[in-house]
Amino acid sequence: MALLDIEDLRVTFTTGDGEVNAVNGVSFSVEEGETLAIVGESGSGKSQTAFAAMGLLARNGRATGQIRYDGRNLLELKQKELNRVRSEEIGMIFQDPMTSLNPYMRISDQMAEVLTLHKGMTKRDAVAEATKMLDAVKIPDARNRITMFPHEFSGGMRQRIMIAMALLCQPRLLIADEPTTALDVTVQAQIMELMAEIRAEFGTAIILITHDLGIVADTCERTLVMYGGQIMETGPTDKLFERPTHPYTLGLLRAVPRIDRDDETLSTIAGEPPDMSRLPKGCPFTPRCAWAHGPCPTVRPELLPAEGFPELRRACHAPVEEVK
Amino acid sequence: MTDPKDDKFAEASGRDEAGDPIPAAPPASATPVATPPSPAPAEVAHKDAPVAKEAGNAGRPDRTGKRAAPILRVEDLRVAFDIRPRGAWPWTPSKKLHAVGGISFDLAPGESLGVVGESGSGKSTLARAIVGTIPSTGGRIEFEGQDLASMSERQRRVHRKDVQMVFQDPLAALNPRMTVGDIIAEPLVTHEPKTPRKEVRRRVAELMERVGLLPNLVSRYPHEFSGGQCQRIGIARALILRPKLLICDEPVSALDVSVQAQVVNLLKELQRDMGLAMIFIAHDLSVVKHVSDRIVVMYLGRVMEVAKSKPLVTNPEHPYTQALIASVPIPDPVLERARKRPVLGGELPSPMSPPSGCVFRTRCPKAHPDCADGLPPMLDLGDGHRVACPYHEEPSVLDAARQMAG
Repeated sequence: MALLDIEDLRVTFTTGDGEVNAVNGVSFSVEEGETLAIVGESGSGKSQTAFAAMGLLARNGRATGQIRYDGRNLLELKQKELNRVRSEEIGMIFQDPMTSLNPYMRISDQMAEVLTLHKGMTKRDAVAEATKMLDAVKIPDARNRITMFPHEFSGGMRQRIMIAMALLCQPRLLIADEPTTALDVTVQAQIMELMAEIRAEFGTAIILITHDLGIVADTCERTLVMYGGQIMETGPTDKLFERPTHPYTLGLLRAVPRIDRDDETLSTIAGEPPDMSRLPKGCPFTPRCAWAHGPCPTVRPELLPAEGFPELRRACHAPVEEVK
Repeated sequence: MTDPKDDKFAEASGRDEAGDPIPAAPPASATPVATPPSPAPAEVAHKDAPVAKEAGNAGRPDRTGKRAAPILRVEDLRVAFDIRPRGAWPWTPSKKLHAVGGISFDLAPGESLGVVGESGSGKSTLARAIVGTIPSTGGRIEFEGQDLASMSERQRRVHRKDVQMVFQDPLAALNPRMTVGDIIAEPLVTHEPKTPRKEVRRRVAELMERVGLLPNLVSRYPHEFSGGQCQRIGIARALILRPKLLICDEPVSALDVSVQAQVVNLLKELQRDMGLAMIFIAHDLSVVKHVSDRIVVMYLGRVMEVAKSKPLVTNPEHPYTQALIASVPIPDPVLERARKRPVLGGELPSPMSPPSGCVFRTRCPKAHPDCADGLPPMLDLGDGHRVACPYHEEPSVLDAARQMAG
């Protein structure tokens, strides 16, 4: 059985301008110890999918469907139960490490809190454990620095602290929402290396949410491409990058400026990202798609195995062999 | 679309101050916007055009082979900020933060120069010093042969007109209470208040079309646009005065990949068609490489390496450039896994107390003991390739890794 199994997840926000459908029927699963990348641009619903799973939706948000973790539907759990799952079973890292740490609390207190509250450890043991974890994420001189405040650390160090904190209770699943977007490339490389090491050492399953196709290529076994709150294409990273079968994946991969290539002009995807409160009934990518035809604007394509590429699944009406 | 455009640029070359023709502009801008550029005739025009001396060698230096008279020359530029520690007594001397510590380069008309560096490298401060919004504390900035510091108020106003900027956060850079039309027209109305309103409207509409916005959106407000469209508005605003130099400070880093490519292509196209000189600042080397003729790599306020973009990326000499390139992920699983690379350890030191000698030595895989002793000399490797590392010829860690992988 899969560790996390999401079925037909829908997230709706009620706003002054009406209903905004951020996630529209997303289904996927994560196996024990696996790394899954959720790739998409802003507004694609990738973060809201994770937030729904963690019960962190904004107050005007509502999630329906099923998010089964270890057999239980997280959407139906009581607050107390959910808190236990969130602390001990699923860890989460956010994009901005400064705003996700409490600026008034010493690192030692913030980290120990998790352990004293959930594992019933004494403060002293908890701090010792936290120090060990900071060592594991390679914070130099952790024994002395643990008593510092968040502002005394650099961005990369703060992100390491966040990772250490998420790992304290040795979760089986780690959700990382754009963990390196706010960091410099050299620091990003360090953090990605650290995540790979953690996975090897603790066997943690990781969901990496990102817009950067580059870091996905290096770290994730499976990739899921989202657009307009729906899954466009999914499959093993190698296969997906080698031969994308969905027009959006194809366009996205071509639009990335690459350091190892000299293209005079970058190829682009025409148009703008969709307005989530006015999505077309059919495929959300239709207005920007070069292969759009008859059924596209009205009939939503199902996520089915791609013809000739059994490992990939795609939601597209255009024949596979034409999309290239 | 082409005819009025040509007129417009013809005007642009004519309107300028006495005896100071915009170099590059007349021949380059005469190329119709819609047709794909034909570099050959434009170049011929450059050489044969019977214009002033500077204009004669105004082409891109890498095409004509000759170094043109620079439109911008930056010499040993220094910018320092006074930092007062919190709770300090009024009589305690403030500390100095050297954001830019002695940078020199020049920029030919029509050339695009990329500036890359991580946060804290001083690249944005450099941009602001060139625009003139931050005073420099040392060195010289010469725009068209004129020292920025010794300019009179009147000359300064002209300078502000000639140097325009595009900012990182497209929505924050636009006044939410002004319509798009007013935003784009504002520089024109401010600097050339005598322009008839009809003419202003015409130029706004023209420019909106040029940057890919429908002119009928002119009375909308910024919040009604997406990030990419807002950046187009920002670009239109920067171009309405027909500047000679466009400074883009991280213009695409807040945009999504698919939109980013659109804006990068647009900037490149505009630069080529209008004969603009451009400084393109970004942390993403792969974007900078696509836009720039030459690239300056900065670290902690200093230049590490300068070269034409292709040799810089394929043949980086400075250990920092090498590390930077190795850190940029490539969206290709096979390639990416094959190039296992050493990750640069540590983080940027505090600019309040930069390391002595070479500022990169604390993270440098090649550091020698004497790197701490004095500033490394800027070595000229020919063809405009300069590197601030005396040990650049030693085999790099990267080469070793590559050999192991191969």
